[in-house]
Amino acid sequence: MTTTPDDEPLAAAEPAFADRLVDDLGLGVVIEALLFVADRSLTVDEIAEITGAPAADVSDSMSRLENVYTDRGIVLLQHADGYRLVSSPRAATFCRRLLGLETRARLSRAALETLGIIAYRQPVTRSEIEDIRGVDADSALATLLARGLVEEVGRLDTPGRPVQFGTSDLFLAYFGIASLSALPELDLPDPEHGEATSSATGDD
Amino acid sequence: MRVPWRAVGQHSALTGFEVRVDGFDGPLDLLLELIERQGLDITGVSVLAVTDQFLAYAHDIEAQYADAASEFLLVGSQLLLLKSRALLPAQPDDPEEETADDLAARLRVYAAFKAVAAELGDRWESGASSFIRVATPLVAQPPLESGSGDLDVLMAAMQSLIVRADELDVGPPVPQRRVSIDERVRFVRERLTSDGDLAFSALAAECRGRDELVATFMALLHLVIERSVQVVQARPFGEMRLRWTPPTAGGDGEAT
Repeated sequence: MTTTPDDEPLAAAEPAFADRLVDDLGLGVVIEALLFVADRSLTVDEIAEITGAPAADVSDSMSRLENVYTDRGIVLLQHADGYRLVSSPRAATFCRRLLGLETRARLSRAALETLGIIAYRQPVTRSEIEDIRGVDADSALATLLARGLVEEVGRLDTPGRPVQFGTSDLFLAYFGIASLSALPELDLPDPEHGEATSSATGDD
Repeated sequence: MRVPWRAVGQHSALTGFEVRVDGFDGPLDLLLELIERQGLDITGVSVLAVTDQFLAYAHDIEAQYADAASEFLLVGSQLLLLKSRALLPAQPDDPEEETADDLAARLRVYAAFKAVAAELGDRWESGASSFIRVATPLVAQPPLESGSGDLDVLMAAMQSLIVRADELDVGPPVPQRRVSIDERVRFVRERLTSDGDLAFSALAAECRGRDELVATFMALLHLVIERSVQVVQARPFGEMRLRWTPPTAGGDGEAT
């Protein structure tokens, strides 16, 4: 690479080159390589920037990749707007053997309930969790945060700006779930049953 | 203690370090367990059906765990309110009428999450996890060739460092000059008694270095407190004029 004489940024020359390469290899191949090398989730935008391909194309290739991995030892995990390659939960026993992870810590029921509430209601604040469970959520939350199963995802724009929690990509990995949409269904009562009755103002 | 609740309902593996009261986890959990134990569905009616049992527990908990009791008391009082309404003739336009259903609805939401938690727990126990890559790939670095170390090069490098240290004439260490405020007080007094009236900027201009300027300013404040110096500033951000006011005028300084 030589220095450009005018102040044309060097990067401007690169996309054309990258485009050609991506065309030759196929975008899916490049994305697969990136996901393999990355030690974290990669977002569609990130991949679009690296490959120089439009975000829509990246998303298309991603869903094609998703299908590729339906019956493999590797699973494409989708978390928030990021993707990550992880081992298939079906091969967990052997991976665990390889990694020397024989014993597993258990999660208390309080931690599991709190985790469930966060998974389905995210982003959710501590007090919303406590409203549902009727008990203090401090220690359960501390456990989940320490294990990296949940993380702070923002703050609510109300007085005190309470922290909002969401599940991490590790949560999906630990529980062998490919994405939040693959969570078991929550059996909640009909929403209209609870909502409609509470607005009685007694005006007659 | 009494019969642990875990022995009754479904297998809820209760571990961890949360403080647990008799094997259940908060008032809603207790209420739910009581209802399930009776084989009832979660409705306003069955919420009422277990009121007495709930209150008995809440009473015990209040005695044993004062800090955990408030939620139990809240739910307990809700139940009592419901029960009293159930006994009294119904008042059609009573907004509180819904409370039984509200509590039942709250229980239903909790029950849904409890079911989900059980499913998550099973999944966790099954150990069907995905694993992330353990090691991030190393960026390949060219290895050092053996024999590439050259003693002469090392000597030359050291030599050049020694020469450079000799060339750098840093001189003897400079002792830190200390500026005493007393000394600056004497200085300000001298300047003011000789000139009578002086601009602060003129005084500041005679200071060498920041230490001296700061000490001079503090000395000036000291003199102002002492009422030996009067500071006049004609307009905001304008020049400050300093005037020496001998201590003999101190008596009437109070009145003006």
